[in-house]
Amino acid sequence: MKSYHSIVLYIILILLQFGCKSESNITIYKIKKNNSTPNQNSTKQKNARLNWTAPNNWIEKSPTDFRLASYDIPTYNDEIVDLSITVFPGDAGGIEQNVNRWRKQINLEPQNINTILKNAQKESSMLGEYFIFDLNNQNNNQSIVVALIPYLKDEQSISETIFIKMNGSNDSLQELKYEFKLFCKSMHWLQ
Amino acid sequence: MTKKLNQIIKIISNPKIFVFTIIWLMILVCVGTVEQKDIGLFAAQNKYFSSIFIWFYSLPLPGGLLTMVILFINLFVFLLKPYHWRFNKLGVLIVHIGALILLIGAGITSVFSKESNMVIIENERSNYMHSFYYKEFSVLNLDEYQDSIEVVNFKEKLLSNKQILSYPSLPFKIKIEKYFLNSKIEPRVNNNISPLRGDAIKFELKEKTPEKEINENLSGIMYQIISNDNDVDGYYIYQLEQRMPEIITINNMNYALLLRPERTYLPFEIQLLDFKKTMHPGTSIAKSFSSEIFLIEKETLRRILIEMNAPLRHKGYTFYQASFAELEDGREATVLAVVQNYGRLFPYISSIIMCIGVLLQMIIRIPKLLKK
Repeated sequence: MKSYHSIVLYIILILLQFGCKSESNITIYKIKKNNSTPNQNSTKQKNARLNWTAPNNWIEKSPTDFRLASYDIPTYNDEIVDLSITVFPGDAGGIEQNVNRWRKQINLEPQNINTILKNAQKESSMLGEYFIFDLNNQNNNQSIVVALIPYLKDEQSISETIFIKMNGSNDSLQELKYEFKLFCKSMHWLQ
Repeated sequence: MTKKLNQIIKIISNPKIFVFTIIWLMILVCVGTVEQKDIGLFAAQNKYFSSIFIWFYSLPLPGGLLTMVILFINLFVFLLKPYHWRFNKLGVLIVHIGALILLIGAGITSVFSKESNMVIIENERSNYMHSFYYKEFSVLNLDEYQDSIEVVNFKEKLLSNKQILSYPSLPFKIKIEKYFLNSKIEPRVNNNISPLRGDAIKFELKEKTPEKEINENLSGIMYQIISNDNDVDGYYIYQLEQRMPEIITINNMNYALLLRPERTYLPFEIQLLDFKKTMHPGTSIAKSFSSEIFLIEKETLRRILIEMNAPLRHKGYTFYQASFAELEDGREATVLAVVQNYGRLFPYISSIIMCIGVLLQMIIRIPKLLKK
């Protein structure tokens, strides 16, 4: 009986002690210095590789010589949209030349750089600021949506350009545009 | 001695205590809920549910915390009585265990749970949350380390008038002259203290009646720096949400001083990709919000959608879509309510246990009832 009493008392005492807070009123820690602003391009470390997050229903295809990665994207109207990621050194010919090449692929007239930039959407991700070009030809129901992500070596020169491009019909690409934007935003360097 | 102990245990485990504490808890819940309307949620919680005593004029009455401790001890001692451990009381014992688990969960929640919020601007990342209620006075050593900033935080409890704050790595002391829970800034009229530094030269802090909801208060602090450098020593002011911290330089090192909501750093980061809001047609009242985010952990990203009724649960933290903000530059920011509650599962577990107990007790008693 005696041991029963002592067990009860000990347990109550332990619980009461456990219930009392003993928190320190001074805390100290270190945080990383962050000198970059949201619009500045993140620095690519040596040996870093490009990484991204794709939606679960995108089917990854094996990479080719030119493509870093490719996906088949199923849509509601049973069309399979092709998405590719390619990386080229420098500015890869520049915005005007590239956009007009894609315009030609879907039988659109070339445009000057001012009009191209006016119609482009400016976005930003962990790689910095980039453009999305939404090109569509209503006559032949063909569309191309491309994200052109310049990776800056320094403020003056581009070290490489990342292209994320998808081809398909107008309806399919409009349906996938939101997913595409988020996919582009997920691009980052992985050590 | 054994007799006395026996008597004490008999008193402690008296079922009447259980009945009275439960009734008293009901009264507390009713009064607390009604008064919450006038004094605010945080004050009502502290006054009725987290307190040891409630002062009714000069009469001390047991607060929620004390009542629940009494309830717990009563149930616990009842459970430990050897003569209750019989088969025909198995159901009752299980119900008691369930109730104890519920109270243990309440204790864990009250000691360890944290309620904070996280504000993230579109395309930006955050890895900390800040408290709804508590503030901290932070000193940031900006120069000592090349890649990092050392942060020394003094909790709000220490910010009482005339309190001196110090830390071994800081080459100065901070004397709290005045701390206001709610404050306003006015042009300086009173010049009876010197030397005044920073914003204190032109402005002074005045106390304001605290708001009903504690998170609506703009706390303010007036403090004195005491060091070996006469150019730095003096009186400073700082008000919560002031954009720039006060920067002082001592021994060629820059220190930033500021008052801010208490911060807790998370072991992962969240990046806001897109914030969406739907308004009720023809009104400016929001119907629903959602935040498309990346959960960034060890350099891997997971895309997640947080909606009003679909929170994100990760590593003991729950992120609820709470609100949003529109910045002056047109960008949107999401406000996530973050709850860290280790006692979250206890109510579910205890309810199941109690149901099993009641059911078992009924089954045990069926043969007796049939005989009658």
